[in-house]
Amino acid sequence: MDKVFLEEIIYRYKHPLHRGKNSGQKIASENVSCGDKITIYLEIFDDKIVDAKFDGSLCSIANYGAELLLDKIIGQKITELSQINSADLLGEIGASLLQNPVRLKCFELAQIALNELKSASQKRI
Amino acid sequence: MNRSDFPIFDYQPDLVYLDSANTTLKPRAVIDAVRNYYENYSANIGRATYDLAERATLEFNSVRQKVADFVGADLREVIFTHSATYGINQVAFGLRDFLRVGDVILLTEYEHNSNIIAWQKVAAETGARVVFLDEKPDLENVKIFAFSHVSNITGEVFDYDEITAKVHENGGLVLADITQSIGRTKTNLKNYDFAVFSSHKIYGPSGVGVLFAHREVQEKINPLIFGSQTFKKISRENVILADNFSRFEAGTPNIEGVIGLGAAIDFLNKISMNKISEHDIELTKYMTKQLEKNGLMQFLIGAPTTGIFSLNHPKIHPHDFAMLLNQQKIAVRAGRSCSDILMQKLGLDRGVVRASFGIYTTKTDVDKFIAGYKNAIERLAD
Ligand SMILES: Cc1ncc(COP(=O)(O)O)c(C=O)c1O
Repeated sequence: MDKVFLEEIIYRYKHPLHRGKNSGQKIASENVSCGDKITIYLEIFDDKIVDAKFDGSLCSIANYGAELLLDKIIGQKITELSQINSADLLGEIGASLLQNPVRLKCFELAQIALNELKSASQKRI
Repeated sequence: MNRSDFPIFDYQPDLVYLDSANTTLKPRAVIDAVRNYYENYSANIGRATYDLAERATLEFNSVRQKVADFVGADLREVIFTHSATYGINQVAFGLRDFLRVGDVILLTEYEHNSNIIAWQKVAAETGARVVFLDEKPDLENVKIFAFSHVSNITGEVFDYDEITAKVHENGGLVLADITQSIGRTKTNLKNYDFAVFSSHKIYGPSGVGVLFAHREVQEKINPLIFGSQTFKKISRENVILADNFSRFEAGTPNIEGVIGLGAAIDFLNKISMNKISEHDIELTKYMTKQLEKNGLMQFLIGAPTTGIFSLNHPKIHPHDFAMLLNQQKIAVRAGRSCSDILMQKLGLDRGVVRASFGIYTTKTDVDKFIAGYKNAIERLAD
């Protein structure tokens, strides 16, 4: 793993922007193969995510995946969420993670939780 | 010890390989033996009569004797399989007819998943029950007792002589999973009915394993697959299976793998198992001392007496340790290490960081691991 990328992961782990809770809707996901668990809290108003937080038992990469995802979705319409993918979230600096299926699963834990919401909102539409 | 015998260190001089409980690195002697088969006599065995095939057959058969001698078994008790996992499955499913509704299959909570799942499946088919030792069962109904001789998590040695004796008294059978012990200590099969291991954990190729099945109980297990080399007589209507190990070895075996295993055993014998065991014990003591000195004992699981150490930090994810250690070319196992039942018992859903030794492991490797582990704590803990 590239050093700069690793530092980035560790920095976000030690200084998370979105860790915590709010009183919004809860969605959860678990990686059964490694025991990681995440809960995402979403405050939604007029189909728009106005605030999001996450907590749980996460490795640094799962934490990183949640941080980047929440960076992206806060302020977005629920209907726009389907365009999110790991390659975009990771960008150039984290592209190497795409080649590592085991750790990519950690990174995508938050996205998997979010999928639940997506399918629920699709059902509504 | 013997680091120069392992070519991987020529290519990766900085590698700190601490995952030998997962699989061992391969010495030149093993690599050469496999290559030599491919280059010089890569014929099938037991069938053709030309020189090449005879040589291949001879080399292959000689390994059976080597394996038998290595653990003090009889040549006829050695069955080549694909892995420890396959051996366990062969015994478990081979005993379908032996098991009845209500029989107890006794396991320990320390077992590798391989030594649990096959039994659960056979129990479901036969109406037998899987019970774990920490449930303190009555030993009377135990028809099978299967246990690992050395834990792949805690490096602790378990003999279970008393339980073995009781199970035998009641007409039950005992399987020892010697996968983690056979390359670390001199093996004594005692009066176990069955024992299994994988070649790749004792410096040989993967894809080969051995099942020892004691002469007196061998006919109790039925083969799982059938094919060439397994029969004595065949007609349009019928087939009579061979009455020895051949009936368990259907089809062309992993010839080069078995030959590689033979080379691995020669290699271990040349060093001597006593020396290997001494080295393992010395490193185990050294590691324990270093963990103590560095205030890390609080994270250690169990009390290893062989070179397998699992650590659990309450805050830091095992994968994160592995990631940071990997940056320093230190290879460790992280996660539940195929021991889900034990991890559940310990409440360690995310598993552990496991450092395990091989004959090439040095005190410097241990020092690097300790430094790397401490560094990871400094970097990741709040
Ligand atoms: C104690 C024990 N038993 C069985 C196995 C399974 O070995 P294999 O995967 O080679 O069949 C292992 C491997 O980790 C082990 O440590």
